Amino acid sequence: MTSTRREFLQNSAFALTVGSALPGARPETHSSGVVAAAPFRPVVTPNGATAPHRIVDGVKVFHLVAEEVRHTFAPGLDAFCWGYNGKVHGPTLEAVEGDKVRIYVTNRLETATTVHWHGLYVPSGMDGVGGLSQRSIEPGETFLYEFTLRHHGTFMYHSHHDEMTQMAMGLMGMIVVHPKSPSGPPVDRDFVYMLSEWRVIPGTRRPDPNEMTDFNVLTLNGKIFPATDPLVVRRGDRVRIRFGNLSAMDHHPIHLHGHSFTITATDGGDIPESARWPETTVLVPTGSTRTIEFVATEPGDWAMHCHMTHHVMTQMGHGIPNIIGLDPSLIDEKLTNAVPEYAAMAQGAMNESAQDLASETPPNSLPMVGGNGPYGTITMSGMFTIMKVRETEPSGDGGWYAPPAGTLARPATEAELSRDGIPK
Amino acid sequence: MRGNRGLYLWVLGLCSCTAGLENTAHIERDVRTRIEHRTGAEVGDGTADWQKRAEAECRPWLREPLTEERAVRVALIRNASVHASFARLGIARADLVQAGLIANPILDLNAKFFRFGSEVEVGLAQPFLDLLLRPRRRAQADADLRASEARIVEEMVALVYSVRRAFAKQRAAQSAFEVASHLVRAAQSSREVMDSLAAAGNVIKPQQTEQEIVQSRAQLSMARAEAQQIEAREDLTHLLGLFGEDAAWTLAPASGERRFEPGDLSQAEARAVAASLLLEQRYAQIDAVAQRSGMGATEAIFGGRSIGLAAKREVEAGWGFGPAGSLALPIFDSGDVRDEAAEAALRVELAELTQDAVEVRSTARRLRERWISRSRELRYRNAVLQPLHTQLVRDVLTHYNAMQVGPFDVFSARIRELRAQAELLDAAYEADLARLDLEELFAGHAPREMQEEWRPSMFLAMSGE
Repeated sequence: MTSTRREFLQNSAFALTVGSALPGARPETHSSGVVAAAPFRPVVTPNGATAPHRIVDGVKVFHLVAEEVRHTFAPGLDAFCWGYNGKVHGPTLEAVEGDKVRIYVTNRLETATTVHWHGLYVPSGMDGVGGLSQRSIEPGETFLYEFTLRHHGTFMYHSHHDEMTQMAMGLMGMIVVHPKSPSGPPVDRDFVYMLSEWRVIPGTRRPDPNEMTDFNVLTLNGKIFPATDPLVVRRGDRVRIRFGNLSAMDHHPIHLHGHSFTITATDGGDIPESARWPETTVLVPTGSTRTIEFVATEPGDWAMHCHMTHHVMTQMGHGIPNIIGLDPSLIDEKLTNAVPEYAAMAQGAMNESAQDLASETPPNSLPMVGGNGPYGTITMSGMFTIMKVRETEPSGDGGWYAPPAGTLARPATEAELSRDGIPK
Repeated sequence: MRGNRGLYLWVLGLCSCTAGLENTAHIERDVRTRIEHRTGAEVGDGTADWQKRAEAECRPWLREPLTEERAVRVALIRNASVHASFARLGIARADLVQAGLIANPILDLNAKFFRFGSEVEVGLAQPFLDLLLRPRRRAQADADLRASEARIVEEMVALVYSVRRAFAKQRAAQSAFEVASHLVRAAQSSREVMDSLAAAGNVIKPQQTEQEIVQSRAQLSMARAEAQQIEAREDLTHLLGLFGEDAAWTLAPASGERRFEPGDLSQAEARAVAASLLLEQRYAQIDAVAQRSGMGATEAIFGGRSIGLAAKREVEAGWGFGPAGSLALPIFDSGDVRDEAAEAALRVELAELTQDAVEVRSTARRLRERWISRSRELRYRNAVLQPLHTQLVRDVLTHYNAMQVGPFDVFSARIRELRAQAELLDAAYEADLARLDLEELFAGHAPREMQEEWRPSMFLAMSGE
């Protein structure tokens, strides 16, 4: 409980700090004049942030500014995206069931926009569908959305004006509404992820919203591995992970290694305990949220990733021939023979380190896979992260797990092969 | 005695007019000097000794890689048309001397034999008109000779620049063959990768067939490029006048051996007119025709007539001497028609001179603009377009390294680069031709409009793209 408390205080302090940085912010006021402890475990948005708010006359006031943001998916890959409050994706809006919220939306884009509160019960005129619920917010305008959060759960917000373009550019974020009267076992860790997909052609610096099928940057909270922050937990922690998916065209089966879990809620509400079943993969359809819970019983470094294999690649080219079964040196030989530029490039690479042998790649692009692991390159990217379960309260990113003796895969010895009748 | 002395002086006077060919030997030297001045190339004196020496000298050149300057010198030694031109100059020289000669006097002998003796009539007559027109005829022949000189210099200038053009063509054809070889190498490599992928079971047959087609077309292109090279070589060989072992020459690599200094191109028209050998010929022809004008009446009266001496011995009176002569009465033919014809001929020459001058000026402007535009295009292609194609290959390679594109995209970019290189050869060849045309114009000969549309990149037509 000590650690839980410390996390709680840390998160409250963070909310205060960020809150004072609100554009045009006034000192947060509250009817009691003090900052009240939130009656919930604040959610953590890995690689992201929780939106600051003020309380004015008992109303939680948020301010979202839609604007262009230069976003880094991972070091080496930047793009001019659209986000809220300088972030991609927008900060998580966090509140409690029954809260009255007032959300100002300022449009600093060069085109009209709206915000839709995906999954929330709101008055029709607050639903944010441009042309249907309201007129769209023109550049430079600030609109006010105001409603009461009538139910708890995991929800999303996103543009509902020229959705194809604006969501492809990143205009989305998560909403977490904690229950007023929590039921079930309390969690020690509460994480939230927005799953999304992009098309950023290597060498360009802007997502291509026209893409319909070939998305090449698949993100967890706007980041790709190895830039995704790990989930660091302590053994025995009850962990909740909330997933929202606003990918343009894809669902994402998120698989957690080393543990099983149950799906406890969707954006439609909590799932009765009697209807839950154990899983190791949760399929998060686009336009939906899924919440899973489990107890982190197994110490170690555990992968968590989308199980669609092309979703754990970054900027993969799909127009290249299949070279499996071919001696790769043959292509090198033929290119060297016929293309002087390639020969020159290869000659230059001779003096470089092995890492550079792949040689020159387009600016603002990343290798399709590859993050450093304790035993070599992790041939994953995209929607991939690591859950680190440690025996004691971890610090920082938890470092790499040191497996106890006899628990690490290794080359078989001659004696072992012989003993078990395995041919070499 | 007085009659004998007069006859002696007359004969002596006639003999003094019979100058020999030796006196005109300087004409060939002058012509050679003019050719050297205009082309920068040495021309021999045409003697058998010189020819023998020159041929011995040029044979080792043919065993070394041939440069453009050497090719020009070889052509001036070995091309038989050079000898023919100088032989024609010899004819003109002879015509000049001939025009200075006085027609031979006519000795007329008439004898009659009677029972009591014989009568003898002797007449010695000199054609009257020949004497009268000799200065004009001489002047006309001199003008004809000047025209011949100009024509020969022009022929040599044309030959020299034909050789230079053929040399440029041969060099371009050789470069085109090299590009075609690279094209085949790229297509071949591309096909081999595709064949390997097919062997691995990774591609469908149409993909493989497509690569086979590309490679086959590249082979055809190279065959065409090789044929172009052989044909271009023959163009030069025949201009060099070579055959047999001497025709096995090789080409020296380009080394920028000769620079074109275009001078003040704003004065291109004036320079072309001043240098024009065609106009020089026209002027000479006008002089020649002018010598014939106004001679109609003279010819009508004196044509075919003569003056001289007559002697007769009669049986009874013995020898008698006296002058003799004949004269046509211009009753029916006053010579006006001939005068009019001569004046019309003069007007023809003047009109043609004017038109030729207009054409020379027009040619000067056209060639100047062509050279400027082709040079600019060549510079642009060298500085911008070709580097862009090379850059494209590098860019595609970076995307290949990033696995965004496959090896066939790289081969394809390389093939496009090579096609652009062939177009660059076209541009370089056209710039060479434009330069040579302008140089030739400033050397005195307006180049003929090229009938042949040959370009180095023509082999690409076989590649089907």
